Amino acid sequence: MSASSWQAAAADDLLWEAWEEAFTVYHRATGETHLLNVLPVEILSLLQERPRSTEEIAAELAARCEVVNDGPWHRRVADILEELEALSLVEPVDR
Amino acid sequence: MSASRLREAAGGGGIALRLGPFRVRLVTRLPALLDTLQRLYAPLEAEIPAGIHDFHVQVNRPGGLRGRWRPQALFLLDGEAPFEPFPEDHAFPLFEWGLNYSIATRAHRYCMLHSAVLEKNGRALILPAMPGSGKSTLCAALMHRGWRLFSDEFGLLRPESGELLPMPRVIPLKNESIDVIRTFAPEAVTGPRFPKTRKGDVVHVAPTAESLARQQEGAMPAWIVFPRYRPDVGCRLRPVPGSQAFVRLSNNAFNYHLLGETAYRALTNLVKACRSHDLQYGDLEAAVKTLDQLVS
Repeated sequence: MSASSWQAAAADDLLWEAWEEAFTVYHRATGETHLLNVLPVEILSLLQERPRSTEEIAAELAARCEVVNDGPWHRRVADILEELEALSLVEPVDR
Repeated sequence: MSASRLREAAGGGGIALRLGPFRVRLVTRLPALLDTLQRLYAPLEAEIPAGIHDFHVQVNRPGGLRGRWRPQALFLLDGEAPFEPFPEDHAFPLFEWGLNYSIATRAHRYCMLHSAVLEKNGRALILPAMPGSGKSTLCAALMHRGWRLFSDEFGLLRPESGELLPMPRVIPLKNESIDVIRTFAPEAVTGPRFPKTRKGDVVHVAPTAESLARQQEGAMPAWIVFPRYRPDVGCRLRPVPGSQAFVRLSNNAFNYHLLGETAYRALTNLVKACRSHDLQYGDLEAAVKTLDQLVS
């Protein structure tokens, strides 16, 4: 769905483990374990600081990853947010 | 306990069997089942039941008319029948499968991996069961080349310590694997052939005497090897990244979702303590040699 802003699941509910090439996270609220690569982890990390819009996330990550913040990049970030929402790791909020 | 005393006790108040960390109380009036138990778990450490038991099991003929013209055996766990009866001459595989069911559905103080586990030099090797893995065949082969059998079916992981616990039981070989192991290890003690089970023909291989004698000695895990039988491949060992090994193991555990956070932490620690590999093999001797080299 299209959200004005997103927030991450409560930090206390997420048990992170860093592996050489990926991350796993156990979500206490759902009892599910997820395997994530770097980009979704970066998105969750940003959202744990404070809620942000898709546009803000795309812009901040583009600068951090040194990529162009164009349409395809924005769509990629939006797709990941949708996937994270389906996993109950982020949820839309109204600011 | 003599054979006659064993039969008398088993048909009365039952006998107590020690299987690794578990105590099983078995009541049966089927002599063939007791004979096979004595052959494959020799020396069978059966006692008169006393104290607390983890599983109360009965394997006997069910009531009813059908049993009169085609004898059957019914497995009861705490008086309940989880399965339909088997033909009576398949009472032993029924007992083994029933015990697996009992453990998988109840022993949740352990994180239970669906894996074979063997030990060498004080450290444990985990062979997770994946479709087409040839896990039981490889497990039986390793046991007859100096590895101590913990289990062919259950990796019993104690979450609080990270230790793996033995529960040496018979290894069921199916179809072509039966002759493969008979050729590979002619000294293997085997039970009767059970034709046309739901998994095909089955023959059980007895745990080695050392495996049974040391069944109270656990070990810390050191290697995770995902075997895959490929007849066209000699033997190929490749490292597996930790995150992949974790995901595969968590999908492979009987009670990962039930234990939740406990299992997540236990499997994370397990994988981080181990080296993980994929093993493709078509040659059993080569596979055993490769694993011996891996752990040396």
